[in-house]
Amino acid sequence: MKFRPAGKNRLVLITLLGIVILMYGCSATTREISPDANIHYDEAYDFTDKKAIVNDLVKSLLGKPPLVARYDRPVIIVYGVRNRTSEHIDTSGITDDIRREILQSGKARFVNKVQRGNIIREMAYQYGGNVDPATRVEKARQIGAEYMLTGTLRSIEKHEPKQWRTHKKTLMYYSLTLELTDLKTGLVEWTDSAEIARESSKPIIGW
Amino acid sequence: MLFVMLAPVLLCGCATGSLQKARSEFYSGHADVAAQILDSEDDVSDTDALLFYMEKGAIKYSVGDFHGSIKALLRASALMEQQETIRLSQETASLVTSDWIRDYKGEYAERLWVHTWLMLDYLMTNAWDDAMVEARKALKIYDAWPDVFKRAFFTRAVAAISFEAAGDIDGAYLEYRKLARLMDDPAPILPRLYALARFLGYDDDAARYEKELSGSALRHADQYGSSAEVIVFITTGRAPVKVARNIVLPPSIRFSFPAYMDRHTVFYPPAIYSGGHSEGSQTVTTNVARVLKASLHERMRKVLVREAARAAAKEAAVRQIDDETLRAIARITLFLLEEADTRSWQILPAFFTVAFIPVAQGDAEITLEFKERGRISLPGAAGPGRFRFFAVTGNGRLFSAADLAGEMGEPNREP
Repeated sequence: MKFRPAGKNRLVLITLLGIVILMYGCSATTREISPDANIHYDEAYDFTDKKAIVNDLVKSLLGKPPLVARYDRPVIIVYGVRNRTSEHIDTSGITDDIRREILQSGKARFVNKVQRGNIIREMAYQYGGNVDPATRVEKARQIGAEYMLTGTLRSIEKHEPKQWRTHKKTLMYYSLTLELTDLKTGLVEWTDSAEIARESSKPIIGW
Repeated sequence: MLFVMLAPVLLCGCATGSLQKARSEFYSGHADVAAQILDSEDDVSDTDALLFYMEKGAIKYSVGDFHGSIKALLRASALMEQQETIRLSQETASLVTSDWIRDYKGEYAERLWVHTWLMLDYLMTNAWDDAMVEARKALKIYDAWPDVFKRAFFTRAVAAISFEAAGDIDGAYLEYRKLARLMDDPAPILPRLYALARFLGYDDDAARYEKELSGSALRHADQYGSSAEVIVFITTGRAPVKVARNIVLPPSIRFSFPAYMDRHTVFYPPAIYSGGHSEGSQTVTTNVARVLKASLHERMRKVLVREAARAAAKEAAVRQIDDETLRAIARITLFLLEEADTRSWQILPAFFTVAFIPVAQGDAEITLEFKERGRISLPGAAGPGRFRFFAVTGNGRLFSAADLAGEMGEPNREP
């Protein structure tokens, strides 16, 4: 016997089905993903790009002169990466990750430039008369940096020209160039760049 | 069918209530109260969300909460990007109701000023790279509608300043050059063009600009790179607001479309004194009303096409009603309810001005004299870095970026 609901019942069934679909579609879900997963929602810079860039550049910095041939853990100071893109990107996240990877490799050490002000404040406190002289940190013993690490993050964005279509495509290209400068000679001892290119397609019409 | 057409108009005919209250407090001189009202607002309707964040960003700027302004205007910027997708449901529904049910997308000029204000916020918080990011976004909008923004001088000047502060002198030079080409009288920009051309080694360009400069302007330009400069962002007056204009086609068709009504038309440039003399200072001003009207004019064709389509759709719907009396009532009701979308960014000023004030060695005091606000003094010589930024907001308050130095980023770099 075939199931064929009558007119009114059919309407009720369709309505109920619609409600069920809506409820399912509108429910919020959460799931954990691996930080190493390669996921992009659009063409913009994301955490996957940061990991890729950091991996490429750390490999290059550690595997090429001058660091590859140094075993005395030279001291580096990071002067930051300039953001020359069209997005607000926190480039300190990139340099923090690079610094972490290199420190953990044991090939170099870093001056903590960001905390210099706090170090001076703490020293002033220690010599302000409240701290046991036997436990005070000795002044003028900070280590000078031998190299300076700097960089520039650039992007080129291209959109499809205006025309009748249902989707709009965007091409995005990022390049991060880092350089290691010898503070004594002023020479660039190492430089390399990492590139990312991506195309995304967004619907022009939605509901 | 009539109820379906009327309900959205009745429900969505007004801007968010908190927005109206905030505007009222702002114009009564209580900008801090206005900022608090918008801070406590959690539930903003989707249709007015962009307007809400635009107004919030402008009010926050006017009370010196530049970080709060950045937060609000970044939300506005993100919404502008999302709104590039056309929402079929809203477009269809607006054909039988009115434009009030569509998400407010902002006039082209208002979108430009979201990025303009973000540039100002970032410059006032010493975030040069972020200011440059906003400069790039603003320049994209210029490129999309070049005729609309022919007279939007202030934004291009601030974009050039953002490039300068971030150390991209080539980028700054290009923008000043484009600005000089657009201005009726490029005299305010020539000293900078000369100074940058010399700095970059563009000797032919420098020689051309030098011919048009006077002694004091040349002297200040020669000191570019080694001398300090004070830059003041000034907002004055009130931008025009939209009102509805109507065209009636008897017996029962009414086209209602928005038009701008001026609120403040006279501009009095401030007199600037540095170390007691007025030489060397330059200003660049945008008349906001002119740009807004050009922007609306550019969009007007689409507005009128939609009006015509709506009139046809409503007429077709009314003709479905069999009863003569009901049909007449429906026609009259729809005639009366046809209302132009007059939402607009009302806290915009009537004029945006940037003042470039070179600071000579030992200059103790810089004073701005306004016809309507009296005299405002700025602390004199610049601190570390080449530029020292100040903002004089529409409610007459003065803020200095140097007060925030050290809070975010580094002082602006030497070029």
